[in-house]
Amino acid sequence: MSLPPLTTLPNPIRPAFTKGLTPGSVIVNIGPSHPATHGTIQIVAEISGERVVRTDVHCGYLHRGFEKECESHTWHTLIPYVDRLNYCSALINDFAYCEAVEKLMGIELTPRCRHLRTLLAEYSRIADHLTCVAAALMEMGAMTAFLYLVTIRDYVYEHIADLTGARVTHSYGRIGGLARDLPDGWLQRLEEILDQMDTFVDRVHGLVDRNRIFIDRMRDVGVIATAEAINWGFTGPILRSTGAPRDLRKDTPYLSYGELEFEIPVGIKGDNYDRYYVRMREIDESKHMIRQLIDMLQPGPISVDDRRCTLPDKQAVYTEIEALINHFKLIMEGPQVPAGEAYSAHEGANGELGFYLVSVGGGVPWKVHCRSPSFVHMGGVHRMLDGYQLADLVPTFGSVNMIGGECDR
Amino acid sequence: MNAQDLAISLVYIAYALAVLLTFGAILTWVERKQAAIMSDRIGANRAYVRIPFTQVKLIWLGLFHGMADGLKLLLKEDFKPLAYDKLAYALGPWLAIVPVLLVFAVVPFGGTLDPGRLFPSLAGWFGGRTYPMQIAPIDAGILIVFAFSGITIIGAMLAGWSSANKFSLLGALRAGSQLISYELVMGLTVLGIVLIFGTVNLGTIVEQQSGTALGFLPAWGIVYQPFAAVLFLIAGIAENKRIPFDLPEAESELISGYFTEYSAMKQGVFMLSGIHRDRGHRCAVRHAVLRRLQPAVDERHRLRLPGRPRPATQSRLGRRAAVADLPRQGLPALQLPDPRAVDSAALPLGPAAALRMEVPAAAGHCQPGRDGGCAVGAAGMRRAMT
Repeated sequence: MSLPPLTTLPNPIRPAFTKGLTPGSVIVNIGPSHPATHGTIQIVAEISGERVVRTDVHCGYLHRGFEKECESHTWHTLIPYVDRLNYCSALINDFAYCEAVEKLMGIELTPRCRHLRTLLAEYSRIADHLTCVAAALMEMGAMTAFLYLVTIRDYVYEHIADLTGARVTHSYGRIGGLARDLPDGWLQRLEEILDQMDTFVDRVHGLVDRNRIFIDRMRDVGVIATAEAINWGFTGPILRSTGAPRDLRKDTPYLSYGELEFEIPVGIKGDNYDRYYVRMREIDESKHMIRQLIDMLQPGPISVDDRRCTLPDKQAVYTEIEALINHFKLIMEGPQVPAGEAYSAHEGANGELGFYLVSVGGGVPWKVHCRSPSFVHMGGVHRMLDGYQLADLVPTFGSVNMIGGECDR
Repeated sequence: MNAQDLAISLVYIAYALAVLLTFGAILTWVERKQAAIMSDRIGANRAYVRIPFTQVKLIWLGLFHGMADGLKLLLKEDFKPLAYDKLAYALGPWLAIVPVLLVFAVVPFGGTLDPGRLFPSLAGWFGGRTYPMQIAPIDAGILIVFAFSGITIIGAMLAGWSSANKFSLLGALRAGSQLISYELVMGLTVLGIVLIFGTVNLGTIVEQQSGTALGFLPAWGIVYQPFAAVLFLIAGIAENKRIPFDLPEAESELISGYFTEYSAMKQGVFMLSGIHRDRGHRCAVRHAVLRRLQPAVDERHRLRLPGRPRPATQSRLGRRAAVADLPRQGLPALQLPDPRAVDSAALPLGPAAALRMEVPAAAGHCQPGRDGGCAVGAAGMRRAMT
C-alpha cells in the first residue's frame, strides 16, 4: 500500500531554501506551532538524519504593531504597551522607555526613584533569568528543577504585585518617577525572598551543574564565537557567554549602577552551558546589587516636581484650579515633550534594550522605535543551530531566551 | 485440552488482564505522586467518585485519576491526520499493545494450583489435576518474552511511518534504533541467567532460585549476575522509552515522537503499552528470573522492598530517586497473611498471591529513572489533557 500524496497548504513564508543540499536530507518545518518555539517562531530546518544541516529562522508571528500603535497614544498612555515587550521583565522595559522620554525632557530623577528603579530592574532581571533557565531545563526534561525555579519566581511576582498591583505587566514606571512608593514591609519581604531564593537556586545548582546528562546536552552545543556574536549584534548574556564582558550597566552606567559594586560574569566558549551559567551568576550579582540598594534607599519623593510630566497631588486637584488644569492637560494632551530625538538603552535581561524616540513637540510621540535584543538575536540564531543535532535545537533555542513580545513587537 | 484446562486457562487470563489493567492505572498514580513529592507539589488529588444520591466524594489521594484519564481518552474524538496510510495507521497501536499483553502468558505468578483443594466442591470435576500458575507453561519461556516484546518495535515504526508526519517518522526511526540496540543488551544480560540455570523455562528458573548459594546467599539470579542485573535494568528503562531514554518521544523537539498523530484512545494505547511493556519485562525477567518467587514470602511479611541495585542513570538530575516504598507513599501498610498458614504447594488464587507477585514488580517499575522524571508523568498528563 503506497502512501497517498501529501496534500498540504502552501507555506505562508518564503524560506531561504526549499531544496536540500544533499539528496538524503529532509526539510522539516519546526514551528510556529511547536512546543519549543513559543508559538511565535518558525524554524525551517534541513536535517540529514538527526543532524541539522542548516536552518532558516522566521519570526513575526506575534507582530501587533507596537511601534505604530504608540504614535496614537500620549507619552504616558503607551507605558502599558511597553510592558508587553519583554513580559518576563516588564519593569526594565518601563524604565528604559521612561528614561528615553526623560532624556528628551531633560529631567533629573530623584535619588529615591533612581535607586528604586535600579532595585526593581535587578529584581525583574532575576525573575527573567529564573524563567529562562527554568524553561530551558524543562525542555530538557528536568521538570523538578523547573518547578523549583518557578516557585521562587512566583514569590517574586506576588511580591512585585504587592507594589505594582499586577503580577506580570506592571505599568509601574512613570515619566519622571514611579507610580507609587513602596508599601510598608515591602523591603522586609524582599529580604526574605532573597534568602529563599538562595535555597531554591542552590538546589538547582546541585541538581544540574555537574549532572552528566545536563553537561552532555549543554556543553559545546550552540557555540558562538565572540567575533561572530558581535558581528551579528548579539548583546546580553549571549555575548557575555562568549567571554566578552560587555554590559551597559558597566559600560554606560545609568540609574544608580555607577554607585554599585558588581561583577560582570562571562563565559568561556559561548555554548549553552555558558549561557546557563552566566544567567545563574547574574542572578547572584543582581541579589548582591539589591542588597546594596536596600541600604542606599533613603526616604524622599519618588517623582520629580515637574508639572510637565508629574500628575499633581489629588487633594490639590480637588481644591486648586491650577492643579485641576494641570491634571487635565496631562491626561488629555499628555506630557509636553520638546521636539527632538533621543536614544536610551538599558541592559535588559536579554541584552541591549533601546528606545529611539522622535518628538515633534506635544503630547504624542512622532516615532517610538524599540531596539529589542530578541529580534537581533533571531537574526543570527541560525549560526548556533546549524551543524548540531536536532535535539540540540531545543536547549539552544531555550538558552537564547527569545521573548515573542519584544522580538515581534 | 479438556473443559477443566480451559476453565483454568480462562481464569488465569482474566486474572492476568485484570491485574494488568488495574495496575496500569495505579502505577501511573504512583508515578505522578512520586514526581509530585520530588518537586514539592501535591500531585493528583482532583478526581473523585461521588457516592450516588449523597454528597460524599471519595478522593482517595487521587487514586481515581487513572480511571478518569482512561475514561476521558475513550470518549475523546479520534482525530486522524489528513494524509495517512489507513491500514498501517490503524494497526500501529494494536501491534504495540497486543504483544505486550501476550508476554504475560508465560510469566509464572505463583506455585502450583490445586483447584480441587481450593474448592472442595469441584474436587470431583478436577479429579486431582494440578496446574502451574502460568497461563502458558511453555518451555521456551524467556524466548517467548523476547520474541513478543520485539514485535512492539514494528508497532512503533508503523505508527511513525503511516502518520505521514516528519516528526512521527523521526520518532519512529529513533524508536527503532533505540529498541533494537537495547534489545541486544537485554538479550545478552539474560543469556547469563540462561547459562547458569541451564534452561529458558521460566517456571524451572524460578524453582532453581529457591536454594542458597555459597551456603548463605539466596540463590537468586541477581546474586549470580549482579552486573547483568544492573545492565538489564538500564536496558529495560531504555526499551520502555522512559526518561532519560525518552528520545523516541522527545516531547520538546518531536512533540510526541511516533504517536504525534494519534489521539484519543489510540494514543492511550501507546502509553499503556509503554507501561505494560515495562512491567512485562520486569515481571518476566527481573522478578521471576532475578528473584525467587515463591518461598521468599517467609522473610517478607510486609510489602517492604529490600534494597536493590539501582542503575547509575536513574539519578537523572543528580538527585536520588525516592525508593518506591508503598507504605510511605500513603498506602496503608499492607500485611500479608502469615505465609506459614499457606500451603506453598497449593497457593490459593487470591489477593495474597496477587500482591506477592505484583508489588515488587510494581515498585520496581516506578523506581528507576523516575527522578526529575516527573517529565514522563507530566508529559503523559499533558498529552492526556490535550
